[in-house]
Amino acid sequence: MTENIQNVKRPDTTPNPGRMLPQRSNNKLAVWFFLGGEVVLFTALIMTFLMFRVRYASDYATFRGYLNLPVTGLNTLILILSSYLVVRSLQAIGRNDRRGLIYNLIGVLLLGTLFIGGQAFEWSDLISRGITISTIFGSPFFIVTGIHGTHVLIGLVWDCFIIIFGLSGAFSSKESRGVEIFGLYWHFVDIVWVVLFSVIYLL
Amino acid sequence: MTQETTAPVEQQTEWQGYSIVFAILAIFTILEIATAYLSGLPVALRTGLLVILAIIKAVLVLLYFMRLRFDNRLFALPFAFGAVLVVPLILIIGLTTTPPTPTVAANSLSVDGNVVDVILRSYKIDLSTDHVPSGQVTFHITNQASDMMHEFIVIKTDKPSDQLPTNEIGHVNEDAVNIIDSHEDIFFGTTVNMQLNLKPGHYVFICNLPEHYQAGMNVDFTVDGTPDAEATAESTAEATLESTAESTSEATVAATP
Repeated sequence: MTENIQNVKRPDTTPNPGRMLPQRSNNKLAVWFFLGGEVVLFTALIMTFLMFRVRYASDYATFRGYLNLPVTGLNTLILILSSYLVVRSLQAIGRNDRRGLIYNLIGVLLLGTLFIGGQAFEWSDLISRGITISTIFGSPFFIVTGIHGTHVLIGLVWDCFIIIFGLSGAFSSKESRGVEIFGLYWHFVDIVWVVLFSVIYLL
Repeated sequence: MTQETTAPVEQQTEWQGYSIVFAILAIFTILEIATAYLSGLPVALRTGLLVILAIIKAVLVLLYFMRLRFDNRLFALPFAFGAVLVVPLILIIGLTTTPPTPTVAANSLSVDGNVVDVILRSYKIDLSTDHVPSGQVTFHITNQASDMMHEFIVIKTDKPSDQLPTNEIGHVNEDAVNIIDSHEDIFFGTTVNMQLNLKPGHYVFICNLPEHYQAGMNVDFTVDGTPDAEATAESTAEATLESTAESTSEATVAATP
């Protein structure tokens, strides 16, 4: 009888790391879902811009002449560097280096502010040349870059909170989800800019 | 002891890996900017190169900075789902955005009394006539530029059409001229109408979108007649109105018991 009981097959309750998500990753999965929605939003915006571009090719050629490629190119490098600093901050907290975390996040804050400053410079330059939101390409340009810029601004506010939490010792090598999730958002904003830079300024 | 010594080495390697990814991203960005300035490259090659560079950059950030390569593959699903939703979105936008059909026959310029056909082309304004008698004038304005938006501004001035006051960026200074009327945002392939009561004199029609005026979108137009004739016409009209008003009021008084 005892032997029979021992031979009964019991369901395997051992977690399979390859198939299941640990509970602690649920919020990370939620962020990825959010980013999936953001992909749709930005694709719609980029497609609208492209439709204008295809239909009014000559007007677009004129509009392109007003864009400041050197400043925007520098801005792109700034955003990529800020993304790299986010990675460095996550690595820093991974080895319990709180100072490294804060320094890198402050770097992200400065670079993000520089990016917004560069965009504000370009916007004011365009507006002074008569390219306003009511012009044919001013409209999609200001909407697309404005929505992206708003994402950067939200990221900067988020970064400030992470810095404050970091200073209060909320993060450690065992608890770094907050930094990681902020990083996912910031990198996504970086990817969107990589695409926008090509579509608006280069192609 | 072994673990203590290997952990920093792993961290160092990981740090170097991310630094390499950053260096690639920076170099690719510089390459993209350089490609944009290279005028000798064929358009197809240049476009292909820029698209490939942008895709590699985005994928590098996704795989390494966002750690999708090392994380659970499930995380990629919502992102991929968003990307899949993009396909019908592109199809909907692509299929529903058809060029507007021209509402008048191409190149038709007709003169019919005080009706003027205006055709806006790429950096040129064609008129069916360059003068009309004073009074009510109807403009049929068609944008026939294949890929441009235009606007149509009527200005009363003594200056030739290409010598209007401009600002530092070459646009006509709209505050410094006498604008009679204007129609903005005339999409290509569309026709709009404008009705004006024009007095005798010299007029200029322009499109003042960026660089359109300087490129040649300006034309002279004359309304025939003398100011005296106009004044006479005005006084006649006023007299007619007054007499009509008087007879009406008389009729009203007579009808009142």
